[in-house]
Amino acid sequence: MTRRRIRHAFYVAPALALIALFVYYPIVENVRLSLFKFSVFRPGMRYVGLENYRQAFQDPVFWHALLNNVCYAVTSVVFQVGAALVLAAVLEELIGRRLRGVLRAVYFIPAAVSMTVAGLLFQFLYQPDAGLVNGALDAVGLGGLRHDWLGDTATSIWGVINMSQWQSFGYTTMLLTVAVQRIPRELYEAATVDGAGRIRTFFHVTVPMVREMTTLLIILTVSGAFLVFNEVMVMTGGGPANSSQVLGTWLYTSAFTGDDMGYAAAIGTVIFLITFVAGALQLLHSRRKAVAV
Amino acid sequence: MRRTPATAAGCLLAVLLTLLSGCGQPPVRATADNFRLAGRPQGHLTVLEKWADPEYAPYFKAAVRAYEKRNPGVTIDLQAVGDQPYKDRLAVLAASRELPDIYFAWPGRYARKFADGKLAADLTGQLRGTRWGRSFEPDALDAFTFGGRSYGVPLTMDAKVFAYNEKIFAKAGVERVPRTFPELLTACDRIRKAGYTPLAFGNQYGWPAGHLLTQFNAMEVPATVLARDYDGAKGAFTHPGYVRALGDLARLRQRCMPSGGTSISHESAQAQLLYGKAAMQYIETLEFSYLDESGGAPKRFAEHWNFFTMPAIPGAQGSPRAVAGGTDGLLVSNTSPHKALAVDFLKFLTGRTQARAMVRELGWLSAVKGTADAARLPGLAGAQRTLARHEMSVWLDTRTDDKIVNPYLAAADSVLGSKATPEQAVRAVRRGAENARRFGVRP
Repeated sequence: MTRRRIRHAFYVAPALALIALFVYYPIVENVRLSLFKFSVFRPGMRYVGLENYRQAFQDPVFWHALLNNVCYAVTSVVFQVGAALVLAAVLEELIGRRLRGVLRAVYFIPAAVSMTVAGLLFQFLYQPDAGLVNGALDAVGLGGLRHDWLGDTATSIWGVINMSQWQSFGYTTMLLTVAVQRIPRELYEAATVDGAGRIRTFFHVTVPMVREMTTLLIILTVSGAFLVFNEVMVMTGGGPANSSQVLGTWLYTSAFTGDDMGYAAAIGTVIFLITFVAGALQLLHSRRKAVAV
Repeated sequence: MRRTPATAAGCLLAVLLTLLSGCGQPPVRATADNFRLAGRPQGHLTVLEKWADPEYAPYFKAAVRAYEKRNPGVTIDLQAVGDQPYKDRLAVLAASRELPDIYFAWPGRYARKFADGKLAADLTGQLRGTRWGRSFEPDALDAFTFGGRSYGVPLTMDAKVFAYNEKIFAKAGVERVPRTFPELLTACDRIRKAGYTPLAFGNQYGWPAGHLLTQFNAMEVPATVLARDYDGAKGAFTHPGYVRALGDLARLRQRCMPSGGTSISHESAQAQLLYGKAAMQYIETLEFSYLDESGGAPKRFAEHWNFFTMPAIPGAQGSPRAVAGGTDGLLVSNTSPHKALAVDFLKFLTGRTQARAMVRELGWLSAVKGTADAARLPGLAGAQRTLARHEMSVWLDTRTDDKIVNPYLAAADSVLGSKATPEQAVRAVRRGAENARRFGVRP
């Protein structure tokens, strides 16, 4: 028995070593660095305990970035999980087979566009003078709503969030479509026999039966929303006036513009804790509500 | 041993504590300051700079090839990366103490970080009182001098000016270039009335507003006060000139900039100037090449443009002769085992022949004296004369403490977006300065 265990451990060890080296060691190292003040340009590090965390709690940009991440997460869950599930169900239940295939491809195409290209594309769309969005508003007689979408502190982050939904919506719809297809038809037939309408069937058959997929997507979208970086960097760089900063870009700015590496590490630790806790809670919640077929 | 969560947590804590007591920042292993070549130049050099644009990169590649041809025993690995990635890459290399032998640096505090961290070689002996040192414009050399020691070799000179379309000025009835700031605002009103955007302005990445504030601060605030405040350890920003400077920015926004918004890029804004939609743009002299037909400008613009510096601001307490600008330069790594070879290459690169080639081919102003007459671009010789009459005020974002840059640029954004008054914006800058003192990285 012991020999067998040793043999098993031997096979598992390389993977464990790699995970420890490339996943857990950086996390621990990041926590360690968050307890120091240091510059990449100067030798030496000053131990400051939890001062970097105190700095974060007193930093209005940190809180604003966190709020932007929360807005990002909530919007992403609503669109990329909620609305995408509705669309997946509609595609499967109401749309003819041929058109369904075309629509799936149409919805999926944005997911195949690189984030940088999509960001630049939306920058053009949002341009205050020559952008398509303001042009479209003019064309339908809503010229009064013209706006510098990415240049106004009130709308900049929403401009980025919109782009992100456009890009990821089709991808999550595809995943949910696969989940919906795997639901046994008998359940729908039984619901119909019991007199359930389409909406009731959706909430009492489709939603519970795709819980595993929705759980996975919620974890992915929520953690993705807290790890967001590229789209903000490409479209606004966190501006104007830090209005579109998210934790990822504020970490980057603190590290590479502010040369405050310890503070950046503290922000990194906060991001890790948030995504870890969100993932763990969601997993626990879904295990309790798991439906067996 | 029982496997419990407490045991696991204990192991994790032990690992953490071990790490805590362990490694720190790697030390800088400086090499000896031996700048004397033993015999003919030979060896391998690594160079990292930020002129990756296709219109600039060939000049530097050709310069490297020319040096290698002249010195067959030398090979040079030249790497060029874009402006923003350059900062990130250099920070990573600095952190790992693996800087290339020669690397680019912006003037002011940016270069000073390398000098203070002993990451840049002290070139005082090579540049002070020597023939090579005397070949540079004194202002350019001073941009890399800290505590009386020289750490950088200046390469280019740059200044911010208003490039303008002469035809639009004439159509709008603006008969002469503005001599005072109120005259500039009046000219903007006339140009707007004539159906043009007075000042093309794209502030997508924040630095164009930073350049304007560099200019306004230098004109509104006495130089000694500026020098104290831009240093994070002492900055208080209580001088009334700071509020006035942001007020100047607000007036310029209101009367000269596009009404739609300023979230476009500086380059997109430049297209408005080149294609006759806008009358002016606040640009760097390094950008003059884009205003020429050879740089892609349409003929009808290329033949009818000129420039002027920021006009004087009545009642301002700073320097009326200030012009926002900077000197780009190259530093030698203090850990380089080839310091003598690096200096020899830099002497070649900033020699009169090569400097004149740079002015001629790239249309940049050189930090080397007596090279402006090599220019082919219209306006460049005039820019050199203008610079000679003005005092250079180094870019705010490379001159101020790192922790003040973000609050300052954010304050400028707020004023441009009419989200804050100049007074509120300066209060935000003061909070940033206070944070720089409280949570500063420096010991």
